[in-house]
Parts: sequence; C-alpha cells; structure tokens
Amino acid sequence: MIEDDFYRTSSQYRLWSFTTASLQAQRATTNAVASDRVRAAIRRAQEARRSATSSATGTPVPEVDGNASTPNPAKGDEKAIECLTPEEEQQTVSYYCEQIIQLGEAYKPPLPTIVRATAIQYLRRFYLTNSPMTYHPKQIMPCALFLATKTDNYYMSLRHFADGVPGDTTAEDIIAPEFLVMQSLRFTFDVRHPFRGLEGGIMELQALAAGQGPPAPHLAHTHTPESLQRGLLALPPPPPNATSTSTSASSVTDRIARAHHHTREILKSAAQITDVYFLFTPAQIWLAALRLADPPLAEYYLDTKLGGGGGGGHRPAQPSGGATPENDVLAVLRPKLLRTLTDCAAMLQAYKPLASDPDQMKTLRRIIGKKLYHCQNPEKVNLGGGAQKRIPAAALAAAATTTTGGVDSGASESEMERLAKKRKLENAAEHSGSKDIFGGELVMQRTKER
Amino acid sequence: MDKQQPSSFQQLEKLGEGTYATVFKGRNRQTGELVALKEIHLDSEEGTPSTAIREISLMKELKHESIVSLYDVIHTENKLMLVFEYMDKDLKKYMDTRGDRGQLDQATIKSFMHQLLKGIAFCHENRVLHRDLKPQNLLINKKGQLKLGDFGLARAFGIPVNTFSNEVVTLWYRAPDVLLGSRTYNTSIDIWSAGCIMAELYTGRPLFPGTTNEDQLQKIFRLMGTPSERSWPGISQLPEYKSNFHVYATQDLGLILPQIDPLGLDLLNRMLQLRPEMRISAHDALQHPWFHDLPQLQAQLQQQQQQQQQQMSGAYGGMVPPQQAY
Repeated sequence: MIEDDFYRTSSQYRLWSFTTASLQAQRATTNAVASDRVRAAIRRAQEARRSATSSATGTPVPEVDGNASTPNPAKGDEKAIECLTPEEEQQTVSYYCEQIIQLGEAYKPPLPTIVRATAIQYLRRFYLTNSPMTYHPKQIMPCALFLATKTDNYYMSLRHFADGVPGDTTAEDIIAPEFLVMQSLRFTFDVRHPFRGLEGGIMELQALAAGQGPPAPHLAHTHTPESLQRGLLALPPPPPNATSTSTSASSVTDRIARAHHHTREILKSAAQITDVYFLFTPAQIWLAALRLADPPLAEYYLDTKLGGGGGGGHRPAQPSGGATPENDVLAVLRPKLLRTLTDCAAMLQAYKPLASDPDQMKTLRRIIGKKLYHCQNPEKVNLGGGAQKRIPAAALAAAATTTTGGVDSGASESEMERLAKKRKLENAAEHSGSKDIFGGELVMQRTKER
Repeated sequence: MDKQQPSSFQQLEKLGEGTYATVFKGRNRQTGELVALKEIHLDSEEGTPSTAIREISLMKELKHESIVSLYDVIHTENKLMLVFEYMDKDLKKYMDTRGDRGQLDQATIKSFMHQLLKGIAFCHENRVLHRDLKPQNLLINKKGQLKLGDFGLARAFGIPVNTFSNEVVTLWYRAPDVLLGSRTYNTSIDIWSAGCIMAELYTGRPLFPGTTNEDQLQKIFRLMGTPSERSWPGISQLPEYKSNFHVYATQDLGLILPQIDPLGLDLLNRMLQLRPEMRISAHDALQHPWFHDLPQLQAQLQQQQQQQQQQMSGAYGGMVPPQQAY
C-alpha cells in the first residue's frame, strides 16, 4: 500500500472529506432543518407565554383581529424570527475557531498547536450537522478544546482547564455537551493534520541541501544526491510577493528554515479556519502552503518526486528521461497535482483573520450580537446550566438527527417557557452589565486587550 | 448507529474488569448476535476518561481482520458503553484450557503468530504502537481467529519521535530498551512482545517472568546475554543502564524450546534482538520462510476446528472464562 491508500482508510477521508458542492449542500441542509426548528420552538414558547398570561389574567385571548390598540402579538413575533443564513453560520463558527487559537495561547504554557488545531477541526465538523442557532458555539468551543487535550495526549485536569477559560464558565459547563460533541463527531477523534507531513518534507529538503538526499527510486537514472544538491543551491530566490523572502544572500539551510516557519504559520492559521481540511488531503495542504511560502523551493521539491526539474529550478517542457510509461504517468500527474495545489493555495491565501479586520468584525457583531441572539433556539439554551448536569443521550440523539418532532414535544410547555424566560433574564442582565456587543462574551475581552 | 440504546443489548455475565472499565458479555436483542460490552465509568471530575477517548479514536481508524472490531458507542446517564465484536476467550485462557499443559501444537502456533504479526503490521503501517501486547490482550474465537484487543495504552506515533512515558507494557513482555529507560522507543517494542508470546506458545509458560524492572532485565540477560557498548552502541547512555550488570553469555534459545523447528527458531531470534534496531519488522517477519507452509497447515487446522466446534457446541452455555482484553 502507498501512503494515499492509508489515508483513504482514515475516518477523515471516509467521513469528513467533501467536494465543494457536497459541503455546501450539507451546510444548507443543516441550516434549513435548524431554522425550521428554531421557528417552531420560538412559536411554541410564545404560545406558552400567551396562554400563561391569558390564564393568569382570566381574560380570553381576543379572537377578532383588527383591534387597533392591541397589535396582534403572534404576527409581530413571527416577523421577528429571522434565522441565520448558512454563510452567517459559517462566519460565526470561524470566529469561534479563531477564539480557540486565542484561548490556547492564554494557558501557561500555551496549549500545543496540534491540540488547538484538533479542537478547531472538531468545532468545524460539529457545525456541519449542527447549527449555531441550536447550540451556541460559545458553549461548544471549550468542550471541543478540552476533548482535543484528551485525544492528543495533552493531559490537563478539567479544573485547571476551566480556570483558563475566561468568564464564569464552570468545569461542569465545559463537559456538559461532551457526549453531544463526541456523537456529532461520530466518535472519530483522529484528525490527520498537515503538520507531520511538513516536518517530513523539511527533513527531506535538509538532507537534499546536505547532499545526502537519495533520489526517488523511479528517478534514480536521472538524479544523484549531488545533482539534487546542485539544483537546490541554484534555485532562484523566492519572489517578493512570497511569504518567505530573504533580505540578504543567505545559506540554503536558512532558506529552508524560513520556508518551514512561514509554512507552519499558514498551517496554524489559514489552514485551520478555511475549509481546506474538508476539501484537500493533508499532503496537498502542506504542499500548497509551502508553495505560498517559497514557490521555487516547493517546485523543486515536487521535481524531486515527479521529475522534470533536471536538477535545476526551471523545468524543460519534456521530461529529460524520455517517453517511458513512468514518465507518462508523471507527466499526467504533475499538472493535475498543480491544479489541486493552486486551488488549495488560493483558498489559504484568501483567508483574512476576522478579529483583526474591522469590517469583518462589524458584520460579526451584527450576526452574533444581534441576529443570533434573536434566533437562538430557546429549547436548547440551557445546555450547560446548573439544573441539567448532563444532557440525556436520547434528547441529544433527537437533536442531532435530522428528524423533527417526537422528542421535542415531550418536554412540557411550561418547562420551555421557563427556559425562555430564564434565557431572556440572563441576556437582559448580560446586556445591561456590559457594553460588550457579545453580551459578556468569554473570549472577547481577551481579544480586546491585545 | 446513533439510535442504538443500551436496551438494545441484553447484558449477560461479566467477562472481566479493566483499569477503567468493566466488560460484560451481551446479546443484541434484535439479531441475537453476541457482543462484548465494555462499560466505561464516566468521571464526574474529568468527563469521559482520556484512555476511553483514545481507544475509541484508534479503533475507529484500525479496521482489520486481526484487530477486534468496535461496532458502536452508546451513552447512558452516567456511563459510556463500547460495543465490541465478541471473542470467545483470550489467548491466556485458551492456552490454559486447550493446550497440553499450556503448550499448543505447531500448526496453531504458526497460525496465531501469523495473525498476530498481521495485526501488528497493520497497526505499525497506520503509525500506531500497541505498547501492551500480552496473551491476555489477544482474543481468540471459535474459528481459530486471533485478534488484537485493548488499545487503552496504544498511541499514535510519527516523526519526529516524541519522548513517551516509559511506564507502559506489562513487565514480562516489555522490551529491554524500554526497561533500560529509553524514551525514544518505536515499533520494535511490539515485536519484542510478539517474540515473548511466541516462546510462550511453545512452552505454556512466560519466557521472562520478571518481578521488578531489574529482575526483568536480569532474566532477559541470563538468556539473551548481557549487552555491552560493543554489542549495542549507545546502551551506556540509557538511564537505567548499570556498568555493573552481571555479565551472562548468550544461551541457545533452542535448548529451552526443544519443540521449535530451525526456521521458527530463526524467526524467534530475529524478534528477540536486544538492540531495537536489529529487531525484525512485522512486515518482514510475515515474509519469513517459517510461514511458507502456512496454507497447508491452515487446511489441516480447519478440519480440526470443525471437529472441535461440533464438540463445543454440544457443551456450550456453561462457564465462559473471564477475559479482560477489550
């Protein structure tokens, strides 16, 4: 088996890989189902409130419309339920993914990159089948991060972890949605990151620079360690628009180290917050990032695998080895791979951090601060509340599947009303207590301090 | 699979108690299929134990005929239940009940070793170290299949090699480099364990039944010879290395394993190399000439098993020995 075959057996490939179209369709479905549920739940809560009011005052609800002094409450509320669009949901999730990076940085010592990256992918996977309207990301985010410390062998006690989460989030709040998260991840916790592949590629480049890099077996007739080393030393410097530029003539090992650093930075940020994990393989992701950091170096690396470089930086139109079947395969493979890498690199390059961009933050304030507040499913807000220690599996399963009805109607109307009221009170308190647009958002303060 | 409720399974007798879980035999109420139910106690302090998370994580990636299958994960109020494929007994019990004073016949040994190495090779190809291979963690079913179980201590590895904690692997099957305190061990530690298991299949007794770390090393050196900087460059740098180790000469393994054939002995010697980098890989071990006559032997075995199965099905329903390997 070759490496690609192993990757294809992974859960990341089997369950979490998409085409652009299938990814979009998945998000549209999740959004549609959640929007319907939110509208139904808010309607139920309103009806419950109305019937409670009317029975308390003893006056029947007026059946006739048109009374000018009392506008129809049902109609007015109905209009107010404006749900998030799939794009807005995605922006919301992206914002909380960035918050994972920030939160991880706040621990002493900071959480390892790999733990944060795993947590971000958990959050992104979670919101493929769940909507932020159903489960607010501020509740799911710390849980995803704590779960990632477990999968990635970074032991941390829950108490210590909870201490690092700003705001009044308790240890109990953090693990309350744990099973919901595990289930939504379909119990696949292993995330294949591009970091490991990058380390291997950099080690190969270092060996090549030292003249100790053996040529690929199928290119042994055209390459030697010495010719490969010469090719690497003869590379043109990275162009000025590349991430990894050199200020002065420096050694090739410095160049590799710089490219390594810049590629890692791309993998830690853009690769996490964009959809590249869903659309590309780890190898494609790190190669695309390396191409952004130092294009000639990335081209050279591909030449050592696919031939065509002739040991130098510039590729001849025809492979130097002649028209063997192997070269034919490589000749077909190369443009195909380059197209894929170009697509992936474009996606990585288009990423702009949300938190440092005033325009995007303005949009986010509108989405999270106002819109999501109004379309949060009132029946799901008490996720981590003190009354409910752990969410029963049956209720969660019902929430996670796409079928509606059944379990939802099982909860009593008065309970829903209580939840709705509680939420309203809590939100009112938060709003009055803080000028922060996120209503006392947990990680916002930290971002603002920076 | 998300719709499975605990009530979908009838809980039968307890099969064993692990470090963080209890294993029960179970029956699928709808299909009648037997399963092993590993019940994990949720810690109110930490939520789902990380050992359980890691085991689920690995089992979801490792789908192979020589690795026990995880069918499902079910959640109840305060516990998590892992539903595994049912296996009849672990290798230890199998040897106790089936072998002649624990010794197994040549064909069975070869078949088990081949399956064990296939499972190990698959783990290693997927960059997973089992780290805790021992007869109690190898499961046997009536079809004569052997599968790796209990991945609670297993972990993924990759380049660059991390420093791992050295508090793993049951002492008797623990590789000398781990015993000497190496923290950069690799796939070869599972091969050492497999070698110890192979010898045990022949004799019915553990090869190196040490009581402490030092005693374990001494038992190994007494048979395999005491290594030195000359036979193992770099050994003196390992944390637990003592310059005053008693110096033993290398013994012939064939003397304590009179039943083993020369090819089998050759393979065993390649697995039980003191120096980790000298140990054969699982992939290469599977190509060893000792396995060349396996197809003929397996045909014989199949006949035997059919006969045994007929006998067993008559007596089935009695006590099932405990097993802990899930």
